[in-house]
Amino acid sequence: MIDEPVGVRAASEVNQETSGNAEVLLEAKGLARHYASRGPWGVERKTLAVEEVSLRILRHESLALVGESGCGKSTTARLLIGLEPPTSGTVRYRGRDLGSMSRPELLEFRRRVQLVFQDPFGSLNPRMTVGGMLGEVLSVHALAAGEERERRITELLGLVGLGPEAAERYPHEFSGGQRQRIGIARALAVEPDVIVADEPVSALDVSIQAQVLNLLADLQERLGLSYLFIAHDLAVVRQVADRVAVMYAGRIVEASEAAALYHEPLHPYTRSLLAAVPRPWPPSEKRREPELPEGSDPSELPEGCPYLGRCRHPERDDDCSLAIPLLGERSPGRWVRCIKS
Amino acid sequence: MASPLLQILDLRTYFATDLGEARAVDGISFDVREGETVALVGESGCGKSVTALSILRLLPEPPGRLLAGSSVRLRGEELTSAADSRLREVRGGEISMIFQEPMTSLNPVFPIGQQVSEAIREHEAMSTGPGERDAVAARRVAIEWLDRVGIPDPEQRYGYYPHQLSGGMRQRVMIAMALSTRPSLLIADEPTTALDVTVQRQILELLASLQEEMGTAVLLITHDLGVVAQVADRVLVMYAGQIVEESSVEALFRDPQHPYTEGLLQAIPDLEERRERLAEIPGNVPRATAWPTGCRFRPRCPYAWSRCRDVPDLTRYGPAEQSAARCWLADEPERRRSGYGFGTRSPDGRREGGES
Amino acid sequence: MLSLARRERGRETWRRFRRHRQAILGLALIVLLTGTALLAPALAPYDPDAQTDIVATRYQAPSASHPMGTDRFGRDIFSRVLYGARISLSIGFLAILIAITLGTAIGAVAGFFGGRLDTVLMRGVDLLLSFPRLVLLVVLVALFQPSIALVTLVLGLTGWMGVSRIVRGQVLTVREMEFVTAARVLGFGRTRILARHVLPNVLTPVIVAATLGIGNTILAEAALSFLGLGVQPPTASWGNMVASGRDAMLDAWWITTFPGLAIVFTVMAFNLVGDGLRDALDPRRVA
Repeated sequence: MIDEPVGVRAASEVNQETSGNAEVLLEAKGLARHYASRGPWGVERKTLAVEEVSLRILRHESLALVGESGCGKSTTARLLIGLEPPTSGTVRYRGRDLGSMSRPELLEFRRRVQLVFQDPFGSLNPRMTVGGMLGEVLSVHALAAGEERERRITELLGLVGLGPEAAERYPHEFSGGQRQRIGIARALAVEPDVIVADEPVSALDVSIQAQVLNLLADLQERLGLSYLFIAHDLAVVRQVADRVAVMYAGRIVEASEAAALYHEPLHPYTRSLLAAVPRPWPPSEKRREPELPEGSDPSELPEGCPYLGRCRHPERDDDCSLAIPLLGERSPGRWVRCIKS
Repeated sequence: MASPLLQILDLRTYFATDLGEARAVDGISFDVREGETVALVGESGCGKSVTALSILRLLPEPPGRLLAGSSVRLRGEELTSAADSRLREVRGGEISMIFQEPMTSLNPVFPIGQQVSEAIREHEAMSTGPGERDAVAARRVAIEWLDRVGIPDPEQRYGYYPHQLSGGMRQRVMIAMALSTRPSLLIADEPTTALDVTVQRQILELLASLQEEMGTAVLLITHDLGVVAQVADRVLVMYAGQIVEESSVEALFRDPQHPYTEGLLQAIPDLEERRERLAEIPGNVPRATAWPTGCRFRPRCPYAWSRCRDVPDLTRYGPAEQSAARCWLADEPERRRSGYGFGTRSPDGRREGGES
Repeated sequence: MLSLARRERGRETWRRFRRHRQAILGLALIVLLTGTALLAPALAPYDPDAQTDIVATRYQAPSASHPMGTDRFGRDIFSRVLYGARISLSIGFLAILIAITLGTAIGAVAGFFGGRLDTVLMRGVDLLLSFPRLVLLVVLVALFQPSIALVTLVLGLTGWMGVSRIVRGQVLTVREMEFVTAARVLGFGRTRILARHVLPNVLTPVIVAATLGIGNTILAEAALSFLGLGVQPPTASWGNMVASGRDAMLDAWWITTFPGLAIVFTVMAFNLVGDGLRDALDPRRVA
C-alpha cells in the first residue's frame, strides 16, 4: 500500500531525530511482503505478513523490533537480511539497493550483515565440529588460512567466552547457552557490522539469558557492532535497545527512543504489552491496560485500525474503523499509529 | 491439622540414560493444601516437570523409576503403590493436568467441543437434567464450560477443530477439559510459556478466577518468576533435582534466602530503567547424571566457601517453620554481606567454561 | 585432533549398536558369510563346477563327504553354496551401491532445488514405482544377453527409487533447518550447502535403507536367477541353484534347501543389522 505516501514518508523518517549525522548502515523503505495461499476451494487468499515497514539501523546502535507471534517481525528480519525478496519496498545497505546488487556486492553484504538465531540447537550443523564450522566460514570468505586460521578460530572462541578446546567438539556436547555463544562466534567470523538477532535468548534458561545479553553488549562495545533485536516481549530488550519499534499485524504501531517508550507508551497495544510483562513482587498495577481476548482466527482483522478488535482505549469509537491509521509523529522522535493517542 | 490435599515425601525419580543414571528428582518433599496455588520454579533439567509426571505416575518406566521410599499421597491415600485402575480414576478426575503446548495435547482430528464432552462423560461429572440423555447433557455441560473459559460463541466453536483456534484459545479449551471434571488439584506445567505475553496474562487471570470460584488447588510449574509473582501463594524453588528454597511468595521476593533464588531474581530485567549491566549467574545448569558434589549450586555460587563441600540440609525457619532454604548461609548470614553477590562482574563470571 | 572427536562419536554409536543383541547376531552372520565367500577357494572341498562321473555321484544325499549332498550333475552343493555366496553378495553390494548413489543424487537434487525439477523427478519416480520391480527386471534383462554385470546394473537401476524418496523427504526437512539458513546468510554457495551441510545430515536413513536394501537385492537376484534370467549356469548363484533343484524337490530336497537357507539367513542378517543401525544412529539418542 504505497498509496499512503504520508505514512511511508513519515515512517522512513522515524529515526531522523535521533540519528543526526550518524551513519546509516541498513535501511528499509516501505517494505511489504505478502504471501499468497490457497483456501479450501482453491481460492487465492493474500496474507499480509509485513506492510509499510520503514526503519534504519545506525552505526553502533541497537534497534529492537518487538511484537507477538505472527506480527511480521521475523519476516521483516528475513527481508532485511535478503533471505527473501520484498513484495514491494527497498532494503539498502550503505545506500546500495539489495535488490540490484551484483554478485560480489552481495557476497560483501553477506559478510557485513549477520544473523544470530533463536534456537541454539537447530542453528548449528550437528555433523560439524565447532572448529570445522568456523574454519569453513573463514575459508569461504578467504579471511584466513593455515596457522592463521587456527589462531583466528581460537580468537573467535575467546571473544564469546569459550576455550580453544571447544573447536574439537560437536554441537551436541554443549549446553544451550554455550551453543548460542558458538552461533555468535560464527556470525562474528565474517567481521560483520550489523547483527540481526532473532530472539537470541528466548530459548535459554533464565540464569543463562543474562550471560548472553551481557556478552552481546560487550561485543557491541568492543567491535562497534549494530544490532537489530527481534523480541516477543518488551522486557528482554530493555537492557540492550537504544530504540524500540513495536509491530502489530504487520505494521509498526509505535517507534521511539527506548526510555521514552518504556516510561510513557503511547499506543494502546504497547501499553498492554508492557502491562502484560509478568513482574516480580509486588505486582505493579499502575500500568494495567486490560485487553479484549484475541479472536479465534488471528488472520481475521477488523476494518480500519487492525488493533481495534483488542483495543480498550477509553476513547475508541467509530472513527477507528474508518481507515488504517497512519504512523504519525506525536512529539519529536515519537511515532505512533493511532488516531486517539 | 487435617492431612493436606497432596503430600509428597522424599520423592526420587531416576532415569537410566546413555550417560549413566540421571537423578532427575532427588529427594523432594512438599505439601499442597486445598485451594492454594503452589509454584514449582526452576530451569530446564531441574526436575520440576518430572516431579509433576511422577505424581500421576505418567513417566515411562523404564527408563524412569520411582525409588523405594518415595511417597505421593492424595488426601492420605498412597498413589505410588495404587492400582492402575485407581490411577486412571485419579488422572483427569481428582487431579487434572494441562501442558505447555495445547496443540499437541488436543487431538487434531476431533472437534474441540467433542473432546471436552468426552472428558466430562469419562468422569461423569455432570448433573443430568430431567429426561436428558448422557450425550446431550455432556454437550450442554461442555458448551457451558467453553463459555466459562471465555471462548466466544461456544455453540458454534463446539464444532471447531484445534487448528482453527489460536494458541490462547486452545489453552482455554485445555483448561475447560481439565476443570470440567471438577478436580481437587490442577497441575499446570508451563501453561503459558508457548503463548504471547498479552495472552499469557489473560490465561493466568482466567485460571485464577476459576480457581477462586471452584476452590481448586493448583500446582504451577514454571521457569518464570514473574508468573509466580502474579499467581502463586507459596513457592518452591528447585535446582539440580532438589528443593533449595521454600517460602511464601511475598517473603521470597522480599528476602530470598538461597543464593540461586537471589540470582534468578536479579537476572529479571528491570523495565523502569536500563541498568549498566545485568546481574548474571555464572556457569551452566548441571546435568542430572553428574550433579556437583556437596552443595549442588556451589560451582555457580558467588558466596561459596569451604563448608559448601558438605551437603547442606533444607533448614526450616520463620513463623511456623513455613520457610526453608538449603544453604549454609543460614548458619553464617554475615557471609552474605561480605560476598560480592551477582550484581557485579565476578572475576571469571563472564566465562561459561568448565562445562561438565 | 579432529578425528579424535569423530572417533569418539563413532564409538558412541558402536556402543549403542552393541546393545542390540539381534543386530550383533546379524553382523556376526554377515561377517561369517563374507569371510566364507572370500575364502571359498580354500574352504570348498570340491571344484564347484566339476562334473566328474555324473552317474556315480549325482543326487547324493548329505553325507560326510558331501555335507550338503550333490546335484543332478554330481556337483558338491556345499562348494557351490560357498561360491554362490561370492556372486550373490557381490551383486548385492554393488547393486545397492549403484542404487544408493543414484537415489541419493536424484532425491537430494529434487528436494534441495525443488520447484519444477522436483515435480518432474518425483513423477518419474512414481512412474517407475508403478511397475512391479520384477516385471521391470525381466523386461530389461530380456533385452540383453544375461550376464553378472547386467544383473548387477539392472538391480541397481531398479532399486533407487525408494532411496530417492527417503532422501528427498529428509532434504526437505534439513533444508529448512536454521543451520542451513545460517550457511546462506554466510554467503555459502548452493553446491557447498548441499554437499557439506545438507547431505551429511541425511546419511543416517540412507545407511539404514542401504543395509535393508541389500537383503532385498539378494532376494531379487535370486528371483531373476530362478527364472533363468540372472546368473547363468554353470556359474553358481543361490538363485539358480534353487531353480536347478526345483524339479527334483521331493526326491532331492537338499538341492534347493541349502541355497534357500543361505538366502534366508543372509536377508535376515542384513535386516537385523539394518534395524540395529537405525536405533544406534538415531540422532535423538545422541546424549
